[in-house]
Amino acid sequence: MSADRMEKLARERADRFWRRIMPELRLFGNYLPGFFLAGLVALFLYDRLIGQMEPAPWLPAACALPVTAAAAWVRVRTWLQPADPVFLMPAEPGMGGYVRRVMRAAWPGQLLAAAGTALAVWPLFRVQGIMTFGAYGAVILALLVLKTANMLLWWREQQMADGRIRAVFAFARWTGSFLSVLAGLLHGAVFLLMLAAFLAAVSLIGDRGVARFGFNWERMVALEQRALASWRRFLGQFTETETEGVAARPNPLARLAGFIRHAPENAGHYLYLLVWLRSPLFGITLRLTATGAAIAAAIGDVWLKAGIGALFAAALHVQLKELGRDEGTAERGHLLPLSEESRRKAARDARRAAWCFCAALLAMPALVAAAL
Amino acid sequence: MEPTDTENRIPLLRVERLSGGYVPGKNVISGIDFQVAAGEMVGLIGLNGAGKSTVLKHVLGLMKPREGDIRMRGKLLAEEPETYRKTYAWVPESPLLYPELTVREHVRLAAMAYGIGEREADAETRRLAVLFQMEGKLDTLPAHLSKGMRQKIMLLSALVVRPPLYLIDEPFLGLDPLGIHALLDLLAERKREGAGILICSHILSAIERRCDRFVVLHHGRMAAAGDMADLRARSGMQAGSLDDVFLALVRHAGTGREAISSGGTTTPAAGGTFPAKGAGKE
Repeated sequence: MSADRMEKLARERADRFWRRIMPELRLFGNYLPGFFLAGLVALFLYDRLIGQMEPAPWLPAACALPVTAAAAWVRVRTWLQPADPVFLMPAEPGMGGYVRRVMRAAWPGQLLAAAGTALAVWPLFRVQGIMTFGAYGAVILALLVLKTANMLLWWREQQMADGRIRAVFAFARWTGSFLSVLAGLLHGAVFLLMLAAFLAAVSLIGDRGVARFGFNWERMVALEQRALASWRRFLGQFTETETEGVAARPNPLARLAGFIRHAPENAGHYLYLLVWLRSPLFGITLRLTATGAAIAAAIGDVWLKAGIGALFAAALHVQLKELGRDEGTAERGHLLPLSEESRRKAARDARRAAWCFCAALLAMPALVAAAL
Repeated sequence: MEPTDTENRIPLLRVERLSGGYVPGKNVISGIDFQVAAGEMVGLIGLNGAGKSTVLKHVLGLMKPREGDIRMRGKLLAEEPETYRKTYAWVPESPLLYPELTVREHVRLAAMAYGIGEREADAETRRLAVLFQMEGKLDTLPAHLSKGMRQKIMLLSALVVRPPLYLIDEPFLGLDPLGIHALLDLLAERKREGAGILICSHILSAIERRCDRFVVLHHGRMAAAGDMADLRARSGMQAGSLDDVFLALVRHAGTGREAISSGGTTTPAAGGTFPAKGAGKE
């Protein structure tokens, strides 16, 4: 299979993917006024923070951290599926060309994200004294080549079979990126331009090598699955999105389930407590509660605190609906002698308990402010 | 709860004139008629697509029969759903697991649902985990286990709860030889204790000596039914193994598709019903 045919296949898959998530994206769009409001509040708070800041020795490092993350974090959608290694293995010699194309396709979006991050951190640069238009241009140019070099190095990293070596390589890549950004911020635009020239040379050499690095199918499929899962998790923050198939994570709190009395009527509660604690839903619940409580705590007005708390509590209510949603109809539901009604009741109880706990935390800033 | 004398006399599972399918007007299975009594193991065998899994889906209540009845201890699913479901433990062909529960938690959940005591369940879990070489994996999530080990979770969960009836679909897929040996020994042990077992498998050599009776399905119909001697007599292979007898029976039965796709009658293609152990006492 040539790179052209592989690209056509990937395009079809990408079309299918976007069509499939379109309903969730539309629902996500319904939250845009809320995001706009939250953005305005965040900008106001950020401006106040910048106004109070003085140049400090730690400030360049603080500025470098988000820029490093934007430059070193790479995600390339290859659209590979778990069955592909079986069917596309004979096409491996042509995969180098395909890889080059998918990386080029990912490049503008990644660069835009990096430039956006640099723009967001720009007020902090201003505090540090880097404030000319030329300096910003140098930052963007350096970021452009740093991002490109990172993408090529990331690709090389993913082709390594040994996970430990991969981790060491990734650590070195991130540290190198951080030091480059930090040195650029400390030494100004001229240094940044020199750095950009050096990285451009590295990227040119790296780009020639991409096709020769071989192809780690297993890793590539795993990365693509992870990208899909992260989409589900992202949309799951705002809409009722299917999280089935997203990997479970260990959670020390799962020990709490051991305290549930061993009795048939508690089987459903035992099940749904564990499902909630180890599924991505737990992280979503935590993030929404923590973000809501932090925003409510940062705002001065009591009514606004209560409003923000209520908004996040409503979002949590939507999220928690995921718990036990398919149990009534799934084949798995016939494994145990638990009636559909008892399962639904257990899922509802678990949802309510989690929601009440989080809602109480979200209401805390408003209640404390009202009491004072 | 110990079964009463009357309950002992009623077959654990009775499938009568069962017909059903997925598409309206087209039966996948037709005229299926068999029963499983306490203390016997029945093998449900057939080629791919013969209708074994469809029969099991009807028994589990995942599909509704178009004709015929399925009774667990004399009760229909609609009459007493809780009693019906507590009568059996099901081991599906592909493990159906909760990704968020460890091996130990799966078994504990099954024990809770079936009303098995905590200590009793813990002790049995430890014993079974040793037999299936799973003692080091009890606190592992299914995502980190091999296919065979995931199948062992299903087996552990079913064996711990000691139901009156086991419904087991292709249990040997992915199991290592030690696991297969342990499973067959445990099933024999449970059979001696009075449990009924309905097992579907393509590994005929593994179930030949363990099963008391067989139901041979072919294209959704019963091609034959009975014990090994009955099957040998029907196939005309007096010294044949189950493999030989099975091949002879399905070759002799032909395609038989036409009768089923036209709506199906309830008359078995061959063999018909066969009595379970102790059925004469009814």
